[in-house]
Amino acid sequence: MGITFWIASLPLFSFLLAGFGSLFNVPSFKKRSHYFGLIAVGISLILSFKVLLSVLGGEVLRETWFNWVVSGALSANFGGFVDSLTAVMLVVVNFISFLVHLYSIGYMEGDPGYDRFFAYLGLFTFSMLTLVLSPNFLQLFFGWEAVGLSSYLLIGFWYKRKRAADAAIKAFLMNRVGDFLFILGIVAVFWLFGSLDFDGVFSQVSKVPGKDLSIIALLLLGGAVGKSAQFPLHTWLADAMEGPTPISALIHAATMVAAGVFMIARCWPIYDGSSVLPVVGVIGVITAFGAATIGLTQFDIKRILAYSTLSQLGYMFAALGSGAYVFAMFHLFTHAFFKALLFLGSGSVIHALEGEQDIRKMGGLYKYMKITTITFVIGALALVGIPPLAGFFSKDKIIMASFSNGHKLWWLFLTLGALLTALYMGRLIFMVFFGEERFGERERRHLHESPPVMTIPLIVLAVPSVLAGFLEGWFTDFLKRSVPNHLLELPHGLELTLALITVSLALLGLVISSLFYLWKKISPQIITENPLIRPLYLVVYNKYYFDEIYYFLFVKGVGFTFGRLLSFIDKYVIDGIVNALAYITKFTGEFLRFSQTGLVNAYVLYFLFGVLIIVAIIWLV
Amino acid sequence: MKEVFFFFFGLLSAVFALMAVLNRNLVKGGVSLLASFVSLAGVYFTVGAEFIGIVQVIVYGGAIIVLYLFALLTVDLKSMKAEPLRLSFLFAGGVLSGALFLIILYAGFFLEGSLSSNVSGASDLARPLFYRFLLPFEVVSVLLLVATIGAVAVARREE
Amino acid sequence: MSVYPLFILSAFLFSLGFFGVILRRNLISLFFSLELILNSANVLLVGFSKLHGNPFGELFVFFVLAVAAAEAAVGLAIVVSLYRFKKSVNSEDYTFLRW
Repeated sequence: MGITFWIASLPLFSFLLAGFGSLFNVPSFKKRSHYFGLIAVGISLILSFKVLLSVLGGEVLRETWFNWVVSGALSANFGGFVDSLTAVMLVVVNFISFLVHLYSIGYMEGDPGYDRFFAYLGLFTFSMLTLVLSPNFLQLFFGWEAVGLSSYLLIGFWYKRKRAADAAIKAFLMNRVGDFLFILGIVAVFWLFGSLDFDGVFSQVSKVPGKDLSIIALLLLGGAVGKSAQFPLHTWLADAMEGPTPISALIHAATMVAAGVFMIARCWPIYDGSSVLPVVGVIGVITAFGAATIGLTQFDIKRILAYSTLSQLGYMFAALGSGAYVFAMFHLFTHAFFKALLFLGSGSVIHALEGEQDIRKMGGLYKYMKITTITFVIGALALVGIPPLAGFFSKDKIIMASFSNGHKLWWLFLTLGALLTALYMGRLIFMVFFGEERFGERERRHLHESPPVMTIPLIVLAVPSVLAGFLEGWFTDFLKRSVPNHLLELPHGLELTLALITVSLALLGLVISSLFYLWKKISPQIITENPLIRPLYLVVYNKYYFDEIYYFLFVKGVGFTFGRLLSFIDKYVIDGIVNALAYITKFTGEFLRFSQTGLVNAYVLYFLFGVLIIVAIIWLV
Repeated sequence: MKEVFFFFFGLLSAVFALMAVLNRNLVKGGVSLLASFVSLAGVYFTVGAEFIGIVQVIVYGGAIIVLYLFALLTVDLKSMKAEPLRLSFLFAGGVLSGALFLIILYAGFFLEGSLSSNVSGASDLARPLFYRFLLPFEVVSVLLLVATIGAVAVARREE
Repeated sequence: MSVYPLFILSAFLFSLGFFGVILRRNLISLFFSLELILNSANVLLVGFSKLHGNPFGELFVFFVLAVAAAEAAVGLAIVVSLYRFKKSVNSEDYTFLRW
């Protein structure tokens, strides 16, 4: 027990209370369920600031809550392990979670599942805190699965919509692929190290051959790829946008999807000892660039942001891949603020338009919702990387790290990715908030700025989106206490040139998108209708046909063929065995019944025969 | 002298028993059985179980076999089909009972000791029968009563 | 005098009784064979009683006799009523309790 226990378990109490009200339909709980969440997460937030302060003072907390599993050599506790990495995550998770709780009061108002929503939010916050606090791989896995569960529940929150239910199942299944590899990795860790505690494992890394470490690192990477929706397993995140928007902000942008990054940073000794880092980086670069191109073609406001999240997570993986763990964490830190801000802002827009998500039916909204527009633009600029906003510092560092650590090709794609980021964010802003109004008369009458309970979180989040970048030096020093940052120093001039290239490309992107969408100098149709480019456009618009390929390969291919095979086996082998048993019994009976002749003499004969057999058995035994 | 009579009566009872089992004529079979039982009584006399021998003659010879023969009177023997001989049953029964015979012989092969020459008369058996085994004795009397009533009830003509 | 000749006699009567029960189809002959089996037990009881010098074995012969008498009475009553039922005492005519 200890302070970390209360940090993690307070949201659990909120879950239990709100869940109690929801389950037993207690009306007095229903309307007040947000109080539980707000108070619990609020106290948890204060406690995590306290922990952050004590960690800043040079302390490392190691607390054991209770003994969980003791089985032979395997022993695992539930506990809290707080170094600078965890302290930062604690604050981020609790901060965003608190604001999302606040925001949801307005956003989910009048929803029949209001109390259920807050219960799930509490569950998610508890799971995420357990994950980041874990002192061993087993608790990490517990948190890992628990956030997956709450993600599933929240994506499918409006379970009566088929698309939402399907998306929840898809997210769960895609995560399952990664989690399977992850648990294999944990088993491999236990096998090789004989322990699951982070301390115990990481202190022995040097004794284990690099090949074994690489296998472990690859398996753990599988889990991270699934959870953080990286390249081969990325398709679930865009569909996860079927969940309520505050959820997209909390789970699918700021915290849960960053768990993969956090996990790799946590396991840095294993990754440093292995030769897997380039794989991490390549996956990251592919995702960063590919997702950005898809984001350029989508029309759903939340999906654009989802692909942007994918892309930014790709940046973090690229940073991990180049060995700059601290920069990855720094980008996670800043990205959490401005991406949560963007999602909450988009939620405010959707709320105002009564659930409309297609940006072709928006436009000119700045006249109606000033606060949302301003905060959204701040978030977008931070994402694009315009100095001095937060995104500039973190993203620029990642791009520079990939260059300085010798991955010139990665640098090229990441820089182009920055251009694409500017393009799709510019497109989003100009199509949603500026230009002519493309919504109907009915929506116009309904249009309004969101209530303060929703705008206050936006304003609060806008502050770190602007200022978090200036924490860079402090943050780097702080995190270097627990995580290394492999970085070759570049000459100052080159560093400046690279930053200039990135910034100018970002600005260029904004200008191009304003030419297309704000001033209408060029029509986007010129590109999309061009016979040369159109096939390419369609490929990108359809997300590179990943869903279709997976459908063909796994649902049709493996599922259907394998299902046929299994059905065949079930019908003819298993049923065959069962039926054969029945038939054998039946035919034996049909045959043996002729021994029942009804003749007394025959029965005496059998009796004598049986006596002799018993005598023989006694004799032989 | 005793042994000579023992083997004589024993052989006699075995032969008559064989005839009783194998003879197709029921009346001849019944009379052979009677002879076999009386020979057995002789065997009992030679081993010194005099009272048992007497009871054997009275109960088996005088009562049970006569009962059988009376039962035969109610059956019209002439009108019945000849009894069939089933070779399979002859063979199987022969083999199995032969095996049984050998097994029992084997089991008794290792018995040691000789028979006591005490002659047990009525008084030797009466004391334990009426003191120690009084309850079984009374139960057996009830059994006989039940058997009598049951036999009458079963064999009674339906009105 | 050894107990073994009595033993042989008992075993012979017992096996012969079984053989008769298996072979004979006439119900009354069947009862003859059953009586043989009962008598073989009596022989053995007397023999062991004399071997151990214990009169209880001979005493038991009384009970066997009583049971044999009861069995003969009831069994013959059944045979008589069966004969009345089908005009036959052949066991092959009474096989309707089969498959």
